[in-house]
Amino acid sequence: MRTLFFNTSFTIAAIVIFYWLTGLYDTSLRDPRFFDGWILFSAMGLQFLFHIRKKLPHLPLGNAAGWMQAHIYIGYFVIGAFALHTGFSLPDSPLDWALWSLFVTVAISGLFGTYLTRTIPVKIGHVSEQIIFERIPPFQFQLAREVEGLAAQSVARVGSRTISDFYMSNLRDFFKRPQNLLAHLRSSQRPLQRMCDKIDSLDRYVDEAGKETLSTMKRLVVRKDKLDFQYAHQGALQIWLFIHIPATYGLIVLTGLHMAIVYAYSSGTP
Amino acid sequence: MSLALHIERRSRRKSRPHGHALVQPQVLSAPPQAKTLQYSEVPINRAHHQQQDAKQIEQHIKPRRWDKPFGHSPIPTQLIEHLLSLPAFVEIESREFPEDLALADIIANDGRIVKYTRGDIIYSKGDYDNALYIVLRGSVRSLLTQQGEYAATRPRKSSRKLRNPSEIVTACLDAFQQLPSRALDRLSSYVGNFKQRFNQFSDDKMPPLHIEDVDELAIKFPTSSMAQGQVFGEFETLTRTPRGNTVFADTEETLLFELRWPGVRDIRSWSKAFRAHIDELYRKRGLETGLRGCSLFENIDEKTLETITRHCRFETHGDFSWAHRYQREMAREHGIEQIIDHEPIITHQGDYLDDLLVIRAGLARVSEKYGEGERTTGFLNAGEVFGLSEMLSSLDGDTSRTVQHSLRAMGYVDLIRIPAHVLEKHLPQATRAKLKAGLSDKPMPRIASPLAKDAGLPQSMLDFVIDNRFVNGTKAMAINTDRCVNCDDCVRACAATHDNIPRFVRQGTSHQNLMIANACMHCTDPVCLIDCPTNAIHRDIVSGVVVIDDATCIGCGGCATACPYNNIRMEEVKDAGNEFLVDEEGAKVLRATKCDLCIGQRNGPACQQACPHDALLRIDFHDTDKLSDWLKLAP
Repeated sequence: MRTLFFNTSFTIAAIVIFYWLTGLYDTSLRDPRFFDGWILFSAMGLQFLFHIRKKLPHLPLGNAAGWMQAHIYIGYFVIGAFALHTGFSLPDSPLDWALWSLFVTVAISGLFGTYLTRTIPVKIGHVSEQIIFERIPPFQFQLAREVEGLAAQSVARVGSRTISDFYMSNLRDFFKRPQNLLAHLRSSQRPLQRMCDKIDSLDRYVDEAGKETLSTMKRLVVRKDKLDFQYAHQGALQIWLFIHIPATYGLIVLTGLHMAIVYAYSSGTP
Repeated sequence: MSLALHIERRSRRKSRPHGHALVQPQVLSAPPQAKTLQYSEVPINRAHHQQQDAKQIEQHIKPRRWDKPFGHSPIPTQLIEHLLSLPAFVEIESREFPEDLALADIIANDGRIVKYTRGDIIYSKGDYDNALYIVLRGSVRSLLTQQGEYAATRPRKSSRKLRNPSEIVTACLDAFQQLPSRALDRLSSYVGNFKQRFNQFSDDKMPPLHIEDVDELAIKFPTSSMAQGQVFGEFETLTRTPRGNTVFADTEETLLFELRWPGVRDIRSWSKAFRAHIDELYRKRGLETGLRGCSLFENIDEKTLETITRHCRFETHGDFSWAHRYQREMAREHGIEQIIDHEPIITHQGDYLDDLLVIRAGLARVSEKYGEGERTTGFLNAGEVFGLSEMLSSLDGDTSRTVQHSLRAMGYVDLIRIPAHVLEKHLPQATRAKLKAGLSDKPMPRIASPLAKDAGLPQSMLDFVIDNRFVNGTKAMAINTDRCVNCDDCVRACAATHDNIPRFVRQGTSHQNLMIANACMHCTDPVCLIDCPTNAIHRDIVSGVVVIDDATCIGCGGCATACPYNNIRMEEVKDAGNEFLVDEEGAKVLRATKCDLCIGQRNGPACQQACPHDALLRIDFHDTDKLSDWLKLAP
């Protein structure tokens, strides 16, 4: 908590000092956008260094956890610096719009990612044991085969198609691929409850052996639901990076272009 | 052939960094080469591996146990006859050994003869070597007190710290060599070659570990002398513990026969006479050195200590090779909950307190009755004492004198029983007062009856780490699942530092928000070392990190089977062209692989360094406070 307080205070202080320095620059009758632009660019460069650090784990470049903290708090500073640089106004040219959009995408995805990385692991831990993301599909396939086997057995054993029909109409698709991902992200139990109710309602139409089969199926449904929960949350933990990182590269390219244009059309007295 | 022709000179001892194969000391047979007779280290770079692999493809020969003997070459037959006449070996019957494991072969390949000059340190306190030593000529001396140790040896430094300019250069070369880009592979191999030459150069400049003034040291501090024919180093060899004291050569020409662990193990397994001899020495020295190192008897004179030793007993509970039995018990239904019932009991709660128990080696579980079962309240390590508070009350006149907790061996435990009447007579009043103050205020380190609240962990977490025997780990990979986002940066960092093959699986046993991943824990008692036929899996001499020497691993899988935590994997070896190597029978050549704690990396284990969320920690389970703080657990 002390670290959080210190880091936040430091970031706010840095933004205030930056605002004050920009004001000073302005009073000296120079264009402050050159000053705050270069500060913004430098801070963004520092942000990008974290990405480089991750690519070079064997070099003695310090603990990645420390880099991550710096990345987050410099990120807050960069948002403040960007707001000052744009004068809290919307852009007025297509290139500036593209630049603005990419910055906002990077910033929002970063903020959202920070929120997700702080909340999702705890949420997963409370529901079930963590499973490696890449191993979820094989587990899912295994469950699908088990439930299919149960349905086939029920036909062979009693000659009734009650359970197999139910499997075809309700369970086959459920086990085929991850389901109810948005509901899981909202931590809603409703889809699971609905499926369990459907299985329970079938209970009165089957004999003792059928009841046992349904009970096993219900257990498998719960297990599949937990897998879906893992898939939804672990997927969310990964997907934001697929937005954040490509947008960052785009931002770097457009920032370079922006600077080139600014200097090409500048009066030469920044 | 004379004895002198097969003497190997040992001039310095230092840790073996990762990726370096120890080249054996050269034989003193050719005088012109005598100037260069020293240990040297040759780094194994990718190019070296590739050359080796290519050679194996041509030959299709699976590596065998004695391809690389302990010495520069096997000891010749004439010398073996001489060695077998030593008191330690004279009663061994050669016919007790199977044909494919003849005694002479073991002595020839797992033994070597090394020459030391006066003052040369044979091993230092805290070293993790695992050889048994026999004095062939001259004598050696061991230091008996801590003060003597300080005077004799330099302060030991971490192998990760850069000590001199040559190490800084080597570290930079290491970093360059591991640059991941394929485009830099060629540059990397140049750097590797340069590093090899640079290491040879800088290695020659390192001073040997040597005591300059042996006479002064022997006058100032108590020492014990061992003469021709005597055996030493057996306690640590059998218990897989670091050396308890420093031993140095006492004569100008000291010759030692050194027998590495696989040889000791095999001779001890097949020969009853050798086993009896070594075990007797083990118990005798274990008792003596244990009492000498016990903080209860600090500042006690030699004569009193001898009297105390005569009255104390040395006991071993459980089994040295406990891993197989443990795996069997764990495999049963409800194994984890019932594991406590299978642990050999040493003392029952409520028993009459006759003796104070000092743990000499191994781990012991402390528990108390709770309802119908046993509740674990803590664990004891080597050097810790059981029953101290009860004994102190008893010495103060409390006549009830019953034990408040039960004590069990987790695997195996060596302990010393100190009778109450000995303590009553010989425990100094000042020490008693100090201990009482310690117990009533803050537990003194290494002398305490640990309780769950002292351990700093909630009961269920304590059960988890003790029942699963994670307390054996000194560098276990703990993952805080409340922080881990499954980004796999740890796995990628591990792969990047180990030729693109990660050395662990980010999966393991979990409890609450703690997961112990399947990565080598670098155990206090590494049972994986027991069955290795070539000593390929061994501990780094200074840091104690368990490492595998790829050059001598024959892929038998003994270590992987023995590891109770499934943290060693057998990897199929590929050649330079990414093709699997096969032996003469067409089977794939295997090699054991596991986490080496990035021992060659100056910035510590890459996995921990790479975690951006502070979700991964290499932890010593004896430091329960650290674990508790990191997991944010409330007892």
